[in-house]
Formats: sequence, C-alpha cells, structure tokens
Amino acid sequence: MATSSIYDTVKIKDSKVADAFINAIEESKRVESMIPASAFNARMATREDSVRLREIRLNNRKVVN
Amino acid sequence: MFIVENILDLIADYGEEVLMQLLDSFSCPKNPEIELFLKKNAIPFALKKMSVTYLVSDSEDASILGYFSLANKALEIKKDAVSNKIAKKAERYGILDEAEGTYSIQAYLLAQFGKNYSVEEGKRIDILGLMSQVNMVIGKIQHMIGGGFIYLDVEKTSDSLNPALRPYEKLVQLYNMKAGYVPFNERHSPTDGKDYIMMIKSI
Repeated sequence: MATSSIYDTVKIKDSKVADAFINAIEESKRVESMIPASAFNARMATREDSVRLREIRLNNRKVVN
Repeated sequence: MFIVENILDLIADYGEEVLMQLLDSFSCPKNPEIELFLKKNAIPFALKKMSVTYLVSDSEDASILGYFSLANKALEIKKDAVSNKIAKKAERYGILDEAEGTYSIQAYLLAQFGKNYSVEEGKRIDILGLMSQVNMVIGKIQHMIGGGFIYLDVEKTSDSLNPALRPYEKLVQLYNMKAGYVPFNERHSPTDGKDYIMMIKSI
C-alpha cells in the first residue's frame, strides 16, 4: 500500500495487461477469502464504544502528563 | 474484541490537536511510510475526503492496534487494448466511454494498512486480523452504495543486504492465498518513484 496510490491514475493501455486485469477479476471470484470479519470478534464503534474509549484515552493522557 | 473507528468521528470527538497526540503512539519501524501517513496525512486527507482512515483498537484498554485507509479508485482500460475474447467480460465490469474509448471501472482502494509495533508483542494484531476489519468496513460500504472491486498496490521492496531476496513476494502470496487478491501487473509511480505490484479482488 502507498500514499501514491491515492494520487496516481491507473490507465491500462497494453493488451496483455488488460487481459490479465480482466482475468484477475474472474480468478479472484473463485478464490475464497479465508478471513471473515466474524472470526476476529470485531465491530464498528457504537456511540457507547466511542464515549468509553475516549474516556480511557483521555485518562491515560492525564496519567502520562 | 476489536473496535473499528472512523477518523472523521475521532476528529469530531477529540479535536485535531488531541487526536494527533494520540496517533503519536503509533509506530511501524518496518515501513516508515505507514507511520508517516497516519501521523501527517490521515487527518488532512480525511477532511479533504481524499481517503478515510479507520483505527482498529483494543476494546479493553483503547490502545491503537492498527489502521487502514480507504479511498475511491477509477481504473481505465483502453478499449483497443482489450482482446475480442475478453471484451464481453470487460463490459460486465466497466462502463464504456465511447468518446474516450475506455472502460471505466470503479474500485475501492486499500491505500494504507499497518499494525502498531509500539504495542507489546503478545497483543499485536496480525495482518489477517487487520484485513478482516477491512472486509467488514468495505462490506458495509458495499451494502450501502454498491461497488464490486478492491484494488491495492504492494511495494516492491528489496533487502539491502541481499538484493536477490524479494520480501514483497511473501506479502503478495499472503494477500492472494488468504484474502483473494490477484496480481495482474506492475507499475512505476511518478509520484514517489517506487515500483508496485498491482492487485485486484472481486467482492
């Protein structure tokens, strides 16, 4: 991953690359992802989570300071 | 339990100055760009809506275990470059702009992704754990607005002591075997002068 990925445009002009790209899309459909989010016990922060984490972090800052 | 937080919510809750101090706890000596992005770019990029960063934290002690950044990416394929055999397939995935002679394919970009090495070793999140959080967030976005692909670049790093070693190949293999990303080409970035393996995944 890279910051440049955000800036750079991706233009595929070469026929071999174009075919490889479309084939890669097709192939990726057949690859079963082995990492479902449910296996890792995670969730998006609820409002209650955010308030609780904020309290812990700000308390930790006070202790450090 | 991991909690995933959108940086825009954190900016609203903490303010930029306090949030920047919290992000200072993040360390990634293996790849300084990952650390630099979080500390210098994550907030301004999110405010400009160029990319949005998500922090993955421990629900018990609120420590930041890792993060990832997502953005939109348009991929263009020259119509002339697509062989007749592949053209029908290309039409399934992209919108053809007749005037420009290009297929335009929208993808989610996994722009940054890294774990926090300042957390004690036994508590660190692993790459697959972090990738599962990416899947969770993209799954929610896809549910709301659609979209069918995730794109990422893997930097072609080399070992300075042994140039024959290619550490990035392990990463490419991991993303392929465990997460379903498929490499399709390499590119040289005019922005940072580095070379990357380009990978795509259909979702």
